[in-house]
Amino acid sequence: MVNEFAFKPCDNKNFCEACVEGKQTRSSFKSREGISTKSPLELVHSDVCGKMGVASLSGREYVLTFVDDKTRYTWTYMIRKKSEVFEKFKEWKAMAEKSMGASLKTLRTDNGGEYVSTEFEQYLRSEGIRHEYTIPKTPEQNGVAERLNRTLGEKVRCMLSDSGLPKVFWAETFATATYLHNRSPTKPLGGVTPFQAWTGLKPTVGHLRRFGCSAYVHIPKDERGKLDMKSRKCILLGYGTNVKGYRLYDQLNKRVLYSRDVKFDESSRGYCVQKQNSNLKTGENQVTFESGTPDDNNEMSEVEAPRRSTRERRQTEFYGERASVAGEVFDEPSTYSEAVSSSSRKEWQAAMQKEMKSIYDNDVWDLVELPAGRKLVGSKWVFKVKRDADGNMERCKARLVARGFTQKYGVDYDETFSPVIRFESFRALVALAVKHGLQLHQMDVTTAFLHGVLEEDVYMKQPEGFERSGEEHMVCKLKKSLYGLSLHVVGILHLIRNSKRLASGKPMLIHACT
Amino acid sequence: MKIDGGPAYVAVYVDDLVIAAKDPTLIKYIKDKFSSFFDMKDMGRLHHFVGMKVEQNDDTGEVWIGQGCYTGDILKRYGMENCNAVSTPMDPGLKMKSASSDDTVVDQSMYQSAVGSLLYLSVATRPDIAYAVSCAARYTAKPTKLHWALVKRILRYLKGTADLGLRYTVDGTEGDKLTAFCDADWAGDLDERKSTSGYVLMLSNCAVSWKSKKQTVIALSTAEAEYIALSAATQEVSWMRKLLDDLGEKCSGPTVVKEDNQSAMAIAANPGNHTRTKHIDIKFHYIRSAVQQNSIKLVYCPTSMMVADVLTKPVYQETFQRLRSRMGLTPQIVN
Repeated sequence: MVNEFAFKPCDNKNFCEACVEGKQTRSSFKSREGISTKSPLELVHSDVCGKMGVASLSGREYVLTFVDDKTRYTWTYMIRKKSEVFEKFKEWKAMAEKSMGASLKTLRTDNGGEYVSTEFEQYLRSEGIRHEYTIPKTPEQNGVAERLNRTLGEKVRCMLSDSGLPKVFWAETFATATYLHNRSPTKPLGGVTPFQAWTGLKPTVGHLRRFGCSAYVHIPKDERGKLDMKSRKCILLGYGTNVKGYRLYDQLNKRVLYSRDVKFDESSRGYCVQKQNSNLKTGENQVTFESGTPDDNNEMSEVEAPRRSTRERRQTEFYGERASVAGEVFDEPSTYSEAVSSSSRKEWQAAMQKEMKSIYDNDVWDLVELPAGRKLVGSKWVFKVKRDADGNMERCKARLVARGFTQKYGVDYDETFSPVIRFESFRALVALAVKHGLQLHQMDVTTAFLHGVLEEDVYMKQPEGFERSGEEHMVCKLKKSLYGLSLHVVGILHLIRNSKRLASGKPMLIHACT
Repeated sequence: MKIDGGPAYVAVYVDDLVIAAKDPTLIKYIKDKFSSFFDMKDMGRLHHFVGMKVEQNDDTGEVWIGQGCYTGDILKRYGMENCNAVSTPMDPGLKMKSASSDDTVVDQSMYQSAVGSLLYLSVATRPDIAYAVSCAARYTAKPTKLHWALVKRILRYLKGTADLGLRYTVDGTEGDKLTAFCDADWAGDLDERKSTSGYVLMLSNCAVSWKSKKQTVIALSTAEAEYIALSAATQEVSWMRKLLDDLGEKCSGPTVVKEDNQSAMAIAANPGNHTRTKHIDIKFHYIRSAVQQNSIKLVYCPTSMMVADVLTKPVYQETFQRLRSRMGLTPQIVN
């Protein structure tokens, strides 16, 4: 082969780590020929197929399939959510066991959450059913069920294409595809149909018609007048399994119905494309299913959807009233970014400047580095429109508040207290004033909160929009109380308590009327 | 605090101060003192206090407080500014029940905020709606259309009575002194068959403190319900006497508590234990000790004069309006 190389096969080395790490591939899946089970329900394959992307006429999004390994008989259930799998499984199990007279022994599924939930597992354990599931990311181990998805999926696509039906009919199509699949020869059974293998009877196929073709349904005598047409044009969707008749779709009235008096025109499509827009946009959710449609039907699982009212829906009136009121209010921004991007940002900017000036004038904080281990309290701008008694806009007010709710009692503060008089006390005072002919006056403390002198150290983030440039990492060490802080001891009472000068030595009573 | 020239009072509400004194120079002295400590603004005569409008009439010495503006705001907020007014806040025939499973639930947060707005009114200046509001407030967990109808009815009542407020007057009669009225409605609550307590404390011919509250225990008889209500009224009277005492207003003699149930008065007067009263909880016998200590005095008052009646049940229009004006609720004084 080559020169200067003595080829010596490595002996004693049947494992090479470098080779495995560099070259390993997945192991091959060997398919076994034929069917290994001996009786129906010995092994059942199941899978969930979906999400389809298009909700069916009755809002289904997934298909749940069951395939009996021995007979290859297939059941499909259309479901809305994966959480319905457990319920449907119990339903199916009862039906299949009763009709076969045997009990389910093994269920093979993938590793999906809908199958391996605790309640599902508990149920299977209590029923004595063996549950085989796949290695994660190895759907090959659930081959029968997965192949069925493809078989039926391809049938559905072809049927939709041939019939020209829109995708919302996928569930109807799926059910019919299953019906036909069970009545078609199957390779693993050597040309026998699953229907025959399951029931022991040969299926009749004389009633089968082209899917989606025009079907003319006879209108019963009592439903029409003398000169009314005797037939209504519908679309063939499938076959009744619990009733003997065809399953049809009445495009005009958006109804699904069953009938046995049907004439078919297999050369024409039943679906009228022109109507598609008007019909399906407005009518999608209004499809009605003929009353009495059995829903325990395992193949035709498009069950009856509740009738929906065609009345136009409106919100109750008081919502409307409220909404209209809300619309009139001059909008108050809830964040800094809203304020600076709102239409009245000039007013808000000015209001914030004013608040900042008051804060600087009162020497509320020092800019410092946050000491290690100390907690930082956030800050927030609160915007308020002040109105006069007639509700006219007086001025815009911005207030910087500390987000003190992040503080912890005992760690960040010890005392929370705001002097608030009880209404009863206030009224008693007014009553006394009247009784003794006193005059009532009032005073207002401008920026009352700033007078609270803090005893604890509180560190706060710099206010949004007013960060000192170049010192963005610094924090405000508060020297005086701000709104929102959980220590907000307003100085007035403090000072009244400590002040003897005011009362010029006379006794003073403080009534805690809060 | 006391200072030369009579008593002066300062009430503090966060950053609002109310100063009451006889002598204008004394008021000025206090204001100056405060201004020297704090950055304060003199707002002159008291005209607004936490959302309440205050009117002082110097000729008659009357003071009126009301919340007409706030009432208008509430009506506007719930889209009721153009509604038709009604004369009572609650239909006497109305049977309130909690929601059953098939009732339609209305927007809960809207209901709660509406009830909250009304509650504020009812505790600040409107004892006349206190009962109706407390009824509405029982159903905030699951409000239905029935309950929302009650809220709307209260709003319709407010529409016609937005100018009502409390008027404090002095005429040298017994009405100037602290008096309490106490009443109860037996088993008025249909869900739990609990009774409702109601009391009003009057001073200067006007209500200063009131409450309408569903009782926490189930009363077995009307007398027991009244007795429990009486106990609540007694507690409030004790507090108010202490407050007035602190404010330099000595209450000479016991405070009169008017009551319209003779049996309840008998239970309070007689410290013995009877078969029919032996189950009444000890805490309600607080009233007995208050009677013995001479801090209150129970006086019978016929139901037709019972002001607290409107705090325990829906009342017909004529009675309602009579009792309402006895509580001191009148339209604003026009100077």
